[in-house]
Amino acid sequence: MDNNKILRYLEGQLSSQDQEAFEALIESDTELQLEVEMLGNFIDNEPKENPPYQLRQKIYNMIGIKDESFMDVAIKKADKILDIILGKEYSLNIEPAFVTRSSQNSLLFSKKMNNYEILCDISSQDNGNFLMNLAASQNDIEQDNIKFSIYKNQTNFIEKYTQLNGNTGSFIIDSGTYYINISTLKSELGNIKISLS
Amino acid sequence: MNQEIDNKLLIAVINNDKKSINSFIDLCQQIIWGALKTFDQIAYQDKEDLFQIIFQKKIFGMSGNWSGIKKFRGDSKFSSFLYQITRNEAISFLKSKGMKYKPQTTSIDEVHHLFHKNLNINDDLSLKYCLSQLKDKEKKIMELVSQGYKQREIAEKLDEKANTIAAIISRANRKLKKCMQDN
Repeated sequence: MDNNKILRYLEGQLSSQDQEAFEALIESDTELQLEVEMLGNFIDNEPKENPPYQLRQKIYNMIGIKDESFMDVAIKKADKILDIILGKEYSLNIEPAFVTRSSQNSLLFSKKMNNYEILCDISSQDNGNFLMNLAASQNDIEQDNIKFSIYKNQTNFIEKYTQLNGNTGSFIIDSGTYYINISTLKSELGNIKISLS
Repeated sequence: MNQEIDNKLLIAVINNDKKSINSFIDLCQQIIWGALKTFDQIAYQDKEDLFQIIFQKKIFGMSGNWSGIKKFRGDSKFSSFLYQITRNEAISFLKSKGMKYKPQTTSIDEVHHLFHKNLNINDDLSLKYCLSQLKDKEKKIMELVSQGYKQREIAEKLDEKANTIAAIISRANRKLKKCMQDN
């Protein structure tokens, strides 16, 4: 079977005579019926979904695309002091930053993603956990309703939205590797991969 | 999200225009992953592998010269072409594992519902018009569906195979939906 003919049929591009002949063929061929039904569902419903970030990275690497909207940060905790293993280029030296200051047990990372400034603030806690606060601004104006979807082990762990002051408020997380997808109501802004150990 | 992959974009990609490549790759990723996600029988890890194989073999090409795209003849939408590639790769994968694809076929209840939900006067007229546009056989079968007959009963009544009836219901349902959207 000519694969293009199936697509042309489903897109309504066949002449009425060809369409009729093709429909007769479909009725007599179970395999073809299945293929037409499946493709018809795809073409009608157009399922679209962004793949997980790490998978997209693999494709970007394959094609040779440098992803500008990605913050990759790895932090190690030694006693109470946080040590940056990866991501020093994103660290902020601004004091005071609008979320909080950086100190020995608190680190503030920032990166511009699709015209938004995204901040990630990490503090160590006595019980071994970490306190995280995420924030977004655009042209120095704090942005509310920016969604941070936080994934751990490929499952959606938590979702946070920025408030009127541009930040999500602090929340506790334990060590591990997290993927954070950042989006507005309309589009994706970028992603953060953060490893805490 | 609603941006289309048109021939202009494809030509720009083949000519290595960086901005176009970025948009193209993002759009392809959404389509391929969206389609792969519908295959419940394929494990997550295998979906990830298939995703990369499709990109490497069918889009970027093994020698990295977009040879996959160059095979596209341009007589359908590129998104349809991608859905077909993805579907074929997923089915081949299932066959290689000795698994048979379990399709989600059009539910006869869903079609039956189309005739019995409360439609406003415009939708009702549109439904009547679209029914009149179907072929005689499709019209007859849809009439039986609207009366509550099941697939097997229709097949017996019309002396056809149940699979054939299922294909016709699915096709007629698709035509009706499309026609109602356009009218």
